[in-house]
Amino acid sequence: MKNPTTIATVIAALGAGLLLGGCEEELEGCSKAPGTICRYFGTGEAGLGDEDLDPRKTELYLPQDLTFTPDGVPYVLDWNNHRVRSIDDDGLAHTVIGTGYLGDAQDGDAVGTALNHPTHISIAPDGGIIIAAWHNSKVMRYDAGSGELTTLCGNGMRSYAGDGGPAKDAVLDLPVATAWGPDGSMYIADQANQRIRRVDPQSMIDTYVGTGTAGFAGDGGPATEAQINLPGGQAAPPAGRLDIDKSGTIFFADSANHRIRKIDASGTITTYAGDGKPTWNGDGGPATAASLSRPSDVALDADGNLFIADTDNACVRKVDTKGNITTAVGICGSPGLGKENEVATETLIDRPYGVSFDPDGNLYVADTHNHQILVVWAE
Amino acid sequence: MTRRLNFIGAAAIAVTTSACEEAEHACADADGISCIWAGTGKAGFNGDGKELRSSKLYWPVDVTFAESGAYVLDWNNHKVRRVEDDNTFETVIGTDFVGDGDPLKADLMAPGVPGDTVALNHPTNFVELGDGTMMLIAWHNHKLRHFDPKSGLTYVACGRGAGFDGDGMPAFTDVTRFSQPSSAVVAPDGAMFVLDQRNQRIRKIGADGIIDTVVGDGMPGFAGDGGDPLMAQVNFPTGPNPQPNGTMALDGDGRLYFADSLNHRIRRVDFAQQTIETVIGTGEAGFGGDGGPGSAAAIANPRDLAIGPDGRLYFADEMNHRVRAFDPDSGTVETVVGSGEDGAKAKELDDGLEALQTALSRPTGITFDPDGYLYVSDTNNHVVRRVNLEGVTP
Repeated sequence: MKNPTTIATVIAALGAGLLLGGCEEELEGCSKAPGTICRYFGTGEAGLGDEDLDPRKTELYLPQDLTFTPDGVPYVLDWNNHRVRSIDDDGLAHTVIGTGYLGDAQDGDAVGTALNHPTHISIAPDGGIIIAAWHNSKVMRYDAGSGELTTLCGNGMRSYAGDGGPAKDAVLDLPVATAWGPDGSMYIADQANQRIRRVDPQSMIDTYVGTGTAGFAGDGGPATEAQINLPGGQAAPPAGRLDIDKSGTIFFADSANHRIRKIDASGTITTYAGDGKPTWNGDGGPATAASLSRPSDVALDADGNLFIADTDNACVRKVDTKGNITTAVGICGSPGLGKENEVATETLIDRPYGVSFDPDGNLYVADTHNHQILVVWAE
Repeated sequence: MTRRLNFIGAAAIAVTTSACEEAEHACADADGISCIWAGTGKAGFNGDGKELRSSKLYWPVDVTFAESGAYVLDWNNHKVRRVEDDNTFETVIGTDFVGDGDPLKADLMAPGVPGDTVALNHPTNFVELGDGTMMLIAWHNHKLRHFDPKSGLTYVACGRGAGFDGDGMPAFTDVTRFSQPSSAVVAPDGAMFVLDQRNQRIRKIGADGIIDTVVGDGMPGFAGDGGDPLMAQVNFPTGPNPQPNGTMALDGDGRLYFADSLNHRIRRVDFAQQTIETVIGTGEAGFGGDGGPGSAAAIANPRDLAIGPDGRLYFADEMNHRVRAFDPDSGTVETVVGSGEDGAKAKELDDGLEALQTALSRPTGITFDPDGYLYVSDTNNHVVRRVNLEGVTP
């Protein structure tokens, strides 16, 4: 598995070098034809891009994900640069959270705060920008108006504590992402604790999914008695992001189980996609009989179709509302670097970690190992 | 100091660069001049196989010269990169992601696995052992990783997760624990000192393979000058997300110097007398005291140390954006590289200027090559500079 990946990556990298040619060359136009891709942010090369440039001329480094506000402002998780970057009204990219240095994610001026590998942004019902400061083990709120960053949950230690009490006193272990329920509850994918925690509208925290022991168990029963499996340890890559539909059903990337789990509003857990085998079979059939390989993220479109960042398969899968799975972006099993304006299902991507939608319904893919964010124009 | 002409460097300058790279301008070696040796000044990773000055680095923290070649610790690219005969980089340890070794854990046993299949998390130091093999201080992996330059294989020599364990026992087992070890230095008898950052200790793996603490009582602080180094307190960054800190150098008499970074001091341990003392620094972060005694000189977050060919102790004075030198005979301190301006705040990256006019930005690593050139890992400028110290006087 590893060697073909490496070789394909090298070939793709060589191809990219030829493709790009001169650095001052004008960027290729983006046709925006439905179902085709364009590079949205990043250059395809790992780096720390300068501030206030065209986002397509701004290097990213292993970007994990991005999230749009309801007004269409993007927040990009520029993971190995330890920053959150955005695009302003003039179309220029700039850092909004993080100094770039490693640090303890202290409260205060967001551009003066040092983070350690942030992984996700969600938008709170009140418009607050909620950041999963993953390796800081904190969930924080960024106020885009004042530029202030405030800790909501986690004290910086990597541990498990606080259930039944106020969220501000709880301890997390690699919180990788958050999502919001229809009642205003915030769900935290608490990666190394092998749990999803829930912060209710009164700001009290409890465990909503998982026993805390990694494993695969509990389908058909209460989510609190089920086991999930996310990478722990110091070598863990980010894993286990989630999304919630309008009815309060949670869809969750159970990464090391190579499955997508679903927790309905009554708290019952089932498997929604993946047979547990880390390969890429099953397109055209039921998602539960198909294979995923270390899925990292999920995103629902407006019609309820679920898109999956199928990371180690180097593709994005789609599960329609009837439960059938297809490939939406990339060619599963063929990591590589694609070209502008290619049809999404004919292009190549490399170990995507994030999927997201903008308010217009266009799909965005964190093409992580190509150090760029792609957009797939809506049909 | 005598030097031979660097043919490799001269040849590289003549190489035609591709359209994507900025036009290469020569930086001629001359007395007192500092030239960029590696890096473009832009943080990133643009692949191996490029000439050193066209290769991007991301917060390089040190260079090591060994019989098997020159290596750059490319910290935020999470790689150890070797300089090949054609003056290009090749990654010898590290992958395209952050991590902790081989996913199948085959690197936990000798002879290990190819280095380019082993993911690292912020490597800080690379030292040569007596047999020509290398030891990587894999800082945020809390491990010492052995590397054989001939086979390209690497395995975990000691360390697993973060912790403190193993004193009094054989080091190279699965018992030993470090907490963000930042550097090592090898003694002539084969013993290796390891600065164990978050454990606030220096530990020694003896020639007999037994590990023990030799400096520090384990509590961060400043105490113990004039007394037993085991009762002394040192102060290195701790907490969940510290910066790397603390490096060492051995002098010809076997005395161990180390950068006691948060105490803003450089201290010296005399194991023959079993004493520790401050040789540079007032304890307050600042800049001052050039031309005067080390104990009256203000320094700010000292990082790497190296004994120069002239016998002076050189140190990267990180937050002063300077490299300074301490003469153990006269006891005086002088600046040898750096204007003191923060080079990262300037529009242009200095290259080819006199050493004392070159604006560094948070230099953290210093190394001498066999010809006596000083290599400064100009970390926050994302370059490594080669300095010809001939004639450098303040």
